[in-house]
Amino acid sequence: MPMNQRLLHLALLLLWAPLLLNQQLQPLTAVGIPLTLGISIRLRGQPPGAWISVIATAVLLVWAALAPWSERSAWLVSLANLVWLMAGLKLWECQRPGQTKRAALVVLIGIGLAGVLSQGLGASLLQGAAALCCFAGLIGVEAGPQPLRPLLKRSLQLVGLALPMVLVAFVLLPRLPVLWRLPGGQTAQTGLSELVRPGDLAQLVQQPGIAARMQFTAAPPPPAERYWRVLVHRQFDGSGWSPGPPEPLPAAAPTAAGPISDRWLVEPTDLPWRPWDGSGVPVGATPLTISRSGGLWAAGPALQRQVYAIAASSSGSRWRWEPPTASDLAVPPGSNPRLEQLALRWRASSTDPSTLLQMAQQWYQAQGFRYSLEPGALPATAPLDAFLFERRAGFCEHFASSFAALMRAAGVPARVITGYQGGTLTQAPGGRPWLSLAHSDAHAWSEIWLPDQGWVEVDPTAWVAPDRVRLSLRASLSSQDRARMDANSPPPWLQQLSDGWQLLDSRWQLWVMQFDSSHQRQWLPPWIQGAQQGWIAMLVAALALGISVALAIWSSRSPEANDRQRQALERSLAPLRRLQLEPAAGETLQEFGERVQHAAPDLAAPLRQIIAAYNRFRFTAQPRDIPALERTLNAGARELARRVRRRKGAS
Amino acid sequence: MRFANWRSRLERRFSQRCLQLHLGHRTLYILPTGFGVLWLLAAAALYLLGTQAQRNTPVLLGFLMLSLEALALFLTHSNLQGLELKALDQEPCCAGDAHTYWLEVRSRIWRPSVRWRWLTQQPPNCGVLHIQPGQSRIGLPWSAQQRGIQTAGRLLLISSAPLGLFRCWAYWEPSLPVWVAPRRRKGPITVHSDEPPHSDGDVLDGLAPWRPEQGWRRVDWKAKARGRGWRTKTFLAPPAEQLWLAPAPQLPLETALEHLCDGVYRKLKAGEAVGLALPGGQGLPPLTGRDQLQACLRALAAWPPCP
Repeated sequence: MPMNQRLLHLALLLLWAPLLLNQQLQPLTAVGIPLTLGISIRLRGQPPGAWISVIATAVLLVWAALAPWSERSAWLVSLANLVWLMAGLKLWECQRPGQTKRAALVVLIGIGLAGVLSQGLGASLLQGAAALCCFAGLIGVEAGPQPLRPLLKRSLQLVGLALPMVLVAFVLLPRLPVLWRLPGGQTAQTGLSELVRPGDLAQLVQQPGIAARMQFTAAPPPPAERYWRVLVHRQFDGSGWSPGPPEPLPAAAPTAAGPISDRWLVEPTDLPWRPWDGSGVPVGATPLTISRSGGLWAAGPALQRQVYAIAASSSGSRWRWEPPTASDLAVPPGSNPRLEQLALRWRASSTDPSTLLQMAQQWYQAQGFRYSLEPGALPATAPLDAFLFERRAGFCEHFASSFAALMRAAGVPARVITGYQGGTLTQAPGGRPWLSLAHSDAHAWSEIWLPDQGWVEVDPTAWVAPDRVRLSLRASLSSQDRARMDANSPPPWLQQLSDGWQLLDSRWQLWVMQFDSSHQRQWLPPWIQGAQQGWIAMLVAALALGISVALAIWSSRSPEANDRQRQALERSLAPLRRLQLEPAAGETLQEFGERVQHAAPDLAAPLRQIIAAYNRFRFTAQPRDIPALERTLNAGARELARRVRRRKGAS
Repeated sequence: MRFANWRSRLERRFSQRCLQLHLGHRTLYILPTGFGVLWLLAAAALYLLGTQAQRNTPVLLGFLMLSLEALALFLTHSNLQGLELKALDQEPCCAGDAHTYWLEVRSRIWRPSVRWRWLTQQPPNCGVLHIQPGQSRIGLPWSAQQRGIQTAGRLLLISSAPLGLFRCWAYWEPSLPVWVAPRRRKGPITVHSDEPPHSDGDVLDGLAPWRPEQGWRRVDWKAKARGRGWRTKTFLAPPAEQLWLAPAPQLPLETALEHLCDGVYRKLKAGEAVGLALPGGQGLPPLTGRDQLQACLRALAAWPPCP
């Protein structure tokens, strides 16, 4: 197989591998090609012809057409698989250079589609490597049989020369507006869910993976104050909590947003809610709304990584003063009888919410509760009663859920918040710190309404396991639970590598993958923006092109062009060309001198002087004096020219 | 047929007929290939896909492909720009024989994958050159079908490296003539031989050390008697027979010339002294060697032009 085709196969392999791991490569594509190839070779003794591409294309088109139009992400993945399958089949049937070039073009389109579906740093690097292999394959088609290394080197050179223009176009060229929105097609990862029941979060924290990352613009708060709210659960059915329909916060008088306090990068999620700390206002291209209950609500699930920023603003905490509604006090009567009786006893002794809060805290701390990852399943009937009065072992959602129910039963509006607490801080060299929120940082706490303070966060887990809030989840667990978590955790050295990789990935996402027209408006000076932006971009791109072309032509000069000694030698031997005498390929100067002596003995003497002078200056250990060499060689050249003229005149 | 005529006229119109050619802006032509147009469309499609899906990877790839196309325009042109071609003196050849047309090529840079093709040859001769920087001598396979003094025809040089997005080409018609002798075919020819000069015996050339296997016959006994050791006498070879070759009178002229060309070629290659006796009193005296062969071929190529 020619090297150019091997490179295209390598490009396809680099493309398929991450798609297979991300479950975006469908079985028809992954299995279809080897199966078709195997059958064809067995039956016909050679790779399949063009007919198989036509049949496979028709099959996938029908399959894509049958996908529900409402599930546009599935349609896009099917289309991408079609292109990848076509690329593979076209490569196998390539016989002529023209076919190989067209196959390379299909692979490039496949790389573009893969970029729509996967935008992580690792996927981008593999897509870039695949593109480089494609370009190297195309260079090989034109250059003829060549080893791998020169082709890859030339491909890198071309991409390096084109990079300035790419950067200029990427940064300066105005982007087309979105005419029809295409889905990202990325599978959402598991995480928090809208319905939380006792035991749900205990399962979630044992899963590996990152939920979100954020970058602070100021000093990060201490771990005990790092609460990031996502869902606000207001509806209680006696066992589980759910958010209810979102109600946007009434619009207030517009106030200028302050500086950005933090930037968020969230992984794909099924939820329309995004994490934040409850203060400030969202800014950026991503449309986000603050709900009346203090949630940050997006238009829909995040099918791909999403970036947004929170800016400081006095109006950002207005939700804390939104008065509670009837649903914030609702407890299904008889759902947890002993819990209701306890709450009624507290209410009988006091109706002040602050006093009730203190009573609850004292009660929880006196009952000997245990914080555990595996508290066991609670009964379907009166589950909170079983937790509070029998098991007395639970995870954060047990404590938050039971406390909120107690407060409601005692007449204090309360709700459950799920989100993240803590996180892992990573300090980037020369940059701002990043906070990674893993699934293991998922947490549940409560909020109660105090008439003079508004909605106040209360974390009953901190009464029972204060290390959970002060330090981390792992520090607050028993050795048995810790071992259970460690079984799913990578070794420390791998975790460190993973943290560093995620840091790079975060930067890649923020500064490259999420760079759009809003960032252009933010970063470009005002005099560039506007109607002239396109012209300025083309002008700068043309300048970059000129520099690249000049560099390309200069770099293709032979090393001898920069060698003054060699140039001087070439000039001194020029008179001999009139007699058709010049060094042949592979002939040394010594051999050339002997040949000239045999052919034209009268020219031998000055030629010997030239060769001796050149060797002396070239290979001696003394400091080289190029002007002196040039003078000697020029003198020899003049004598040679004189003798050649005399010889020509005589003949 | 009409398209072929138009194409031929265009080639003649844009061809440079000269001994030496420097490829520059006036002699080079460049257009995108079909693949280059597809490449542009694919770049636009990726840009659209990226902007509509709000993903920057296809946008970056689209920009990269567009930038490579812009770069390839200049790189493909520079593959031929500045190349100097010069036709060198050609040795005479026979019609139908594979011949090498020698060119001197000068280049300041490395030029990969320069394709060439003789346009006026059937079957077409073509190939690929990788031209190193500096001055070099390049031989292109070439052949002629008829005898006579003729030019090599129209040479097309094409480059589409590095990515095949553009095709840059130039036409050149070297004006240096090539002497093409008749096609070599075995057949009857007229042969006259000259008597070699009379010789009384062997002509002594000199003495050389004697070896036992040479026998006693040529030993220089006088030198041995004088104490100068064993020596043997060496003698000059007797002068060879000189042949005059002429075309067979009973055959058509061109056929007879073809037979004559073959006869001259074989006998001179065998080391015989051969001369030409062409009708009309023209000819060449018998001699041996490569120079005589070239002179005979030139005479056969030039003698009355083919109708």
